[in-house]
Amino acid sequence: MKKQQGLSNFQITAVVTQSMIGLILLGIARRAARLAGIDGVFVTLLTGVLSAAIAAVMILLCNRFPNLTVIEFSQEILGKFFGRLYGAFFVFYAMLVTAVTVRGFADALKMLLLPKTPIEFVMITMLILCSYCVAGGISSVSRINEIFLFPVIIVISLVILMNMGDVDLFRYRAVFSNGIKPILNGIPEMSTAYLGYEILLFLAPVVKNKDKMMPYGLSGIAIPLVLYTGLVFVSIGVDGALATADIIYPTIQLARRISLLGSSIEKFDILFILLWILSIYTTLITFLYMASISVTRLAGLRNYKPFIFILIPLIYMIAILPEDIADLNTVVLLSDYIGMAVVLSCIPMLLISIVRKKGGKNNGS
Amino acid sequence: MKIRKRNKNPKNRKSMEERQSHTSRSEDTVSFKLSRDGKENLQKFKAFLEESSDAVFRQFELGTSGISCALVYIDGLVDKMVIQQMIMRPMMLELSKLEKSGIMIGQENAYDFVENHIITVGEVQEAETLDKAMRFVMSGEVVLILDGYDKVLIVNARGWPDRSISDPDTEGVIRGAKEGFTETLRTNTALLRRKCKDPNMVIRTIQLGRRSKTDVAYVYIKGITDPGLITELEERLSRVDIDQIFSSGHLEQLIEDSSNSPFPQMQATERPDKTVANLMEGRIAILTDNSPFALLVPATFAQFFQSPEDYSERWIISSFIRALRWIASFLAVFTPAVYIALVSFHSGLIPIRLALSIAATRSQVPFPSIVEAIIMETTFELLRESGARLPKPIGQTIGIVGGLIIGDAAVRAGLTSPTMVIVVSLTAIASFVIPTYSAAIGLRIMRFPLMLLAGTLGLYGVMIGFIAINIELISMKSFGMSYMTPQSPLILQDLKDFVIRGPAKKMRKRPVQSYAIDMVRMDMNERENHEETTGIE
Repeated sequence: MKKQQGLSNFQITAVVTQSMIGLILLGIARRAARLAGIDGVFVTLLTGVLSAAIAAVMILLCNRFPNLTVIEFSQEILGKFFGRLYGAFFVFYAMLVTAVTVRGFADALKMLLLPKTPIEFVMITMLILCSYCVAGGISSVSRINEIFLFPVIIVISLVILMNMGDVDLFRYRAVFSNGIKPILNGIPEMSTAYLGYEILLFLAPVVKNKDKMMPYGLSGIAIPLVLYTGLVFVSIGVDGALATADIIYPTIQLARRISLLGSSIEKFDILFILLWILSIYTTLITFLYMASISVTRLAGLRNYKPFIFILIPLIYMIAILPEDIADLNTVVLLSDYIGMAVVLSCIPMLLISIVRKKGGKNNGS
Repeated sequence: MKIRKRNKNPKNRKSMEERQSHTSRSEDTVSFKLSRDGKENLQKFKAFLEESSDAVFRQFELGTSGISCALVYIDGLVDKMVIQQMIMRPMMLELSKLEKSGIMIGQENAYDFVENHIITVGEVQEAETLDKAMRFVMSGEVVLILDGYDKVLIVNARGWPDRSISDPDTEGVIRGAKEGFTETLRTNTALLRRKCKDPNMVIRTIQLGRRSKTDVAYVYIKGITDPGLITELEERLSRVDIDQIFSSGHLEQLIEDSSNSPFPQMQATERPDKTVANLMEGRIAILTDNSPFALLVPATFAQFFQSPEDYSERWIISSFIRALRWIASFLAVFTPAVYIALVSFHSGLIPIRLALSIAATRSQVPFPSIVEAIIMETTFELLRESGARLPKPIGQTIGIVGGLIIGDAAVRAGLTSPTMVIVVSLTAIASFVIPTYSAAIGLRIMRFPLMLLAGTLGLYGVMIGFIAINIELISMKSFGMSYMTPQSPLILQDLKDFVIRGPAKKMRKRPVQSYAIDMVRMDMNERENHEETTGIE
């Protein structure tokens, strides 16, 4: 009997896409418009391409160590001490992202859907639900990602397509009017919106077809790239760059404009929020998995289930720590910086591993 | 297999021995080896069966030779005509005619002569030990003891009252075969053989249950079914250690993957045509004696939404109906929860006129919508359950009680709102659309936790429930096959028989999800050539 082991090709795509689309989905157009005005579309597009390039480096690095996660191969590349330090960063980062995401989600939900429910209750239920899935291992995580991918893609595409007719190309007049500089300046901040693909560093040992990581991993980045660019384009085209920069959740705004079936479904934004819950959930489980597998591998253990239940209270504590949105934004900024550091560190890591002749085809591990 | 009870747990052994000393059991007093003395052998059977009134011991002599014989059988399980006309008559009367014409039968050749020339029955076996012989007696065969031989002849004379083949109640179709399995294993295997004449269709039988000795047959097609799957099934069946197999549903729970799940992990069907179609896809069917249901493994969630009817009708119609079933499953699970969430949390989401009329009807109701919903849904479940158990003549009463009193009168009395009645009836209708009963009931149960979640967290609670159900579904397996295949893991090829049912001509390959080793259902080249020629014409 053929045992189904490891992640299928499509599951790689699903995991990468779903871990990238999360909190930022609601505010992507706002960030783009704030950074570069009407040129925000190009910032989004360009950053996505750059992220894909970094992801390609990441996959090259992973391919040198097909049976190890980043926690283990960083110890081979950097040596025991620095490798562990590097691994500890991952634990901290993954916990921080989980906490920030669950907090941001609870805040957004309070604003959009449940004004009277305490955010603590929302966060606790969400984290418990996450631990239920992550306890099932990477197979459960990847399958949930896979199963929720289509609903999420379909609803975002609907938002883009249904608003396409209202796009006023006049609003795009004088594209590149400020030259290329604001676009380039916007890239560093925009690139944090694409974070999430660092899960690739943990996938190598569990992937079924290891040589297929490159095409399917990159197509996992292509999906958010297309969707984000579409959202930014439509949002600026409909509301104008100035207005978009002032709306908290431009994507919700777009969804609100849609009315289907002779306006019998006029609250499309609620349907959108419900499906957005799915994509938040998939981001959370991916990062919770990342956090727990990092801790486990750092400790040199195999069974990571107990660690989930140690991490959940810690994450919850980090999540309730910020008092308001401003506080939360500081933490988000911190997590974004660490995230960028983590992502960019792959380039020197690859170089060091080539120079020190670690990994690669001659490596027996 | 021994009749003797195995004492596995040494802690219990002492108490077992004590108990046995009070009522000494037959198997403790008799040795299981058959002796050459016919009287003694008969005595061994009597030690077990003498107290039972339906056991028959018939002693007679073989022709005029003076060799004493005995028949042992259970009255009611055997065909008396066979015993009288094909065993006793030739042995007693016709043999003596032969002897008159000069054939001599003595102690040395009696056994072979009886087996080869006297007994005119198709199936004859022999048994050397008592427990083997006893097993045959208990399943309706006749034991023939010949004096002077330490083995006995087993003559097949099975014949017992049997239900005739009838329309399968639980899986009706409009266009399709109208025959269903019965309680007799042999009839059921014959039904399968009639639908598939391939000699590669293997029917293997084992006996399960230490005391009940229930015949369990598993059927597969050699060359299509994965040998690994067969080994896995055999291994699971061999692990079953229980005194009685009650029904196929009982056996299902003893060999399934995850027992703490509301969803069935094997497909139970009453239909031979469905069974054979699944065998052709590489699955294994498990038939249990005394149970008119076959179990098909491995099963996936999508299978529970398929009906044999789908393949008889045109693909466009079938696809529409299949999609309808998926929508129905969503309605059955989520309607009451969404209604509660909308009414008590997000009333702004309901179109304004509808919201006003709902508010108007609800103004008479003293309960919050969650309480109202739980009362009504529980009442519906009560109605359904009582309707299922009641004798048919009283069953109509339930219809009247349900329709009139619970529906109309409850609304007039102000116990519930008309909208709630619509919600409950929609759920009820939708849940009966799902063709497989066990899957439908599993989904229906989900409504109650979902209603509670919706009552506490609104639509967010509904989403939590949705995610939790999905986690449950994707983490389940049926004989190693993921339950949500072909959706997760995504198998593009199998999607043509998932929410839609693709055109029959396009179904050239067997589905991946059943482990089939021979994938080709239609010869591709031949088919393509055929299409080309018809295209030219």
